[in-house]
Amino acid sequence: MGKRIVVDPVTRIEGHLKIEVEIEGGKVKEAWSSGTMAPGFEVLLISRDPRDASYVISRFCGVCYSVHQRCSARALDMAFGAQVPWGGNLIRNLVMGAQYIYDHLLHFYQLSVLDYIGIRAVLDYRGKDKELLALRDKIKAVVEASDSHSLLPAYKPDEYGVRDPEVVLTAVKHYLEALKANAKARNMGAMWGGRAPHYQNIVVGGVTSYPTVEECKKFKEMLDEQKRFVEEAYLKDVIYFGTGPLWKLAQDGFGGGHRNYLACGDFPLDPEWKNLVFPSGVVFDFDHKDPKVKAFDHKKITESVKYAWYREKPPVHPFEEGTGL
Amino acid sequence: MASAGDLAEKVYHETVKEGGYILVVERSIPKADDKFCLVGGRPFKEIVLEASKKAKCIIAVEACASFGGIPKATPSQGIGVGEVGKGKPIINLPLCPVHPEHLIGTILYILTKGKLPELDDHKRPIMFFGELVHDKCSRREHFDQWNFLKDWNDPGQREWCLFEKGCKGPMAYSDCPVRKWNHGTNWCIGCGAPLTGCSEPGFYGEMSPIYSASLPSEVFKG
Repeated sequence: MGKRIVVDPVTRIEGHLKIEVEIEGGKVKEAWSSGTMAPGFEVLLISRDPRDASYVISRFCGVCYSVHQRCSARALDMAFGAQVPWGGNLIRNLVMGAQYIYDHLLHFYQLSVLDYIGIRAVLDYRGKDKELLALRDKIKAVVEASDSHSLLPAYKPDEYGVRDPEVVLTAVKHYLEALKANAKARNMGAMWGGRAPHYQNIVVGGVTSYPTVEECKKFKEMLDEQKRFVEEAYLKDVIYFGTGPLWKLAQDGFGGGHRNYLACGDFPLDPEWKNLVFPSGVVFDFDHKDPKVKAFDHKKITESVKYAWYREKPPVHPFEEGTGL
Repeated sequence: MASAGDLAEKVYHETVKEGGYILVVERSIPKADDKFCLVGGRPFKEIVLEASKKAKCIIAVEACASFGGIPKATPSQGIGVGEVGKGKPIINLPLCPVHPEHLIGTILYILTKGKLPELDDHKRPIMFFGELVHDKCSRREHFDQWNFLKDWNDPGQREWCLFEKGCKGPMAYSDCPVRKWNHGTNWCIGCGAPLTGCSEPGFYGEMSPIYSASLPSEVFKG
């Protein structure tokens, strides 16, 4: 039996998660992840008015609420045989698009980037950029006042951690700017979703909101502002971290998981869902030179509850059997 | 926060030892079985009780931590912090999710005034939950004229009262119609959606079905 490391709780997520790894000879031999909370939303919906589902299921997660809500609403559309008007499809696309923007920023800056940087390097910044100097002093002040629990304590950076003071300080600057940017992306969703998180306008058969011309113009302006931040900060940072210190890890095969990928496809450009902005597809054993994308077939997806607290059942397609707690 | 696991727990234990803090709790406490929510291998309830001992006061955020919220109606039988954390002043900030200005506003109030804001019978600050939504609703005029929205597809009805679509505005207290959400962008009624009463202790179970009126609208016509 090797050495066992337990990380519980994992803090930068919605919900509760425990990660355990067993290490032998410097290598991870076994790993386990456990969600340590079961709210039981699926069971709650049994025998209630089915139209409640999209509202309730959204509340499963305050980060990715829109995708749960959208799936739930589409399941209701199927069950009721509802034809969503084209305008309803567009509004659903736009409010979920707003979530996609802020979700990517949140994932990279607030939930991931702190793992790639040695935050203490901030204090070693000796450059001349006024904004960065002001930020350095601000961080120094909160650390000295021991009011810095969002940044410290942190794990000591390993050999792959970024320690260049200017890069680290810029990442922290973008971390703070991303907070503002994703608040604004939420405003975009709230324009028709009523509020974000948890849009109120998604119902079986479409949406409850009517867009005005002024709102559409405002939405476009806000989208352009988001695009600027994505192009000037986000994409550059993602490429920098992905091809910088982490590149060696990527070359050794880390970060790609099992190299099998699946996309169900979304953001329809026509009522029949034939033309999608994000197409569907499945890739096994990904090779970037020749990805070999196969067609996505939902019938091949089964829900397995062997390692969960749900009532045991054989792995079947979700259409075939419900989930019991 | 940057830390996780032991490192995060260390911050927690140091803070709890020091005491004198405002404890902010999110999420309902499972009454049915502790196993429904474990943090760091310990029952969530145990952690809330431990942390409340040296707290100055407790702020329960969102419908879940205030009154049980949606999980109250699930097999976990979620309950609010007030039901377990006895003996400490508690402030409930319901809604689903919490309004960020309610949370910041309450903390600032306590820090600057050195006392708790005035609370109603459900321990909600009166400054945020003192008025019936129905009385400040932007569609109130249509209610008074009995213009009840029946079809979301009819542009002629787009500003009409949502009572027949299940709106719980006449029984919900909050400043949502005035404060709105996301920097004043919009709110439930503003996007044509009925209020679900997420400010009230009966949410969600007693507010279901969401999209049906609890009374025929004719009763208002008498």
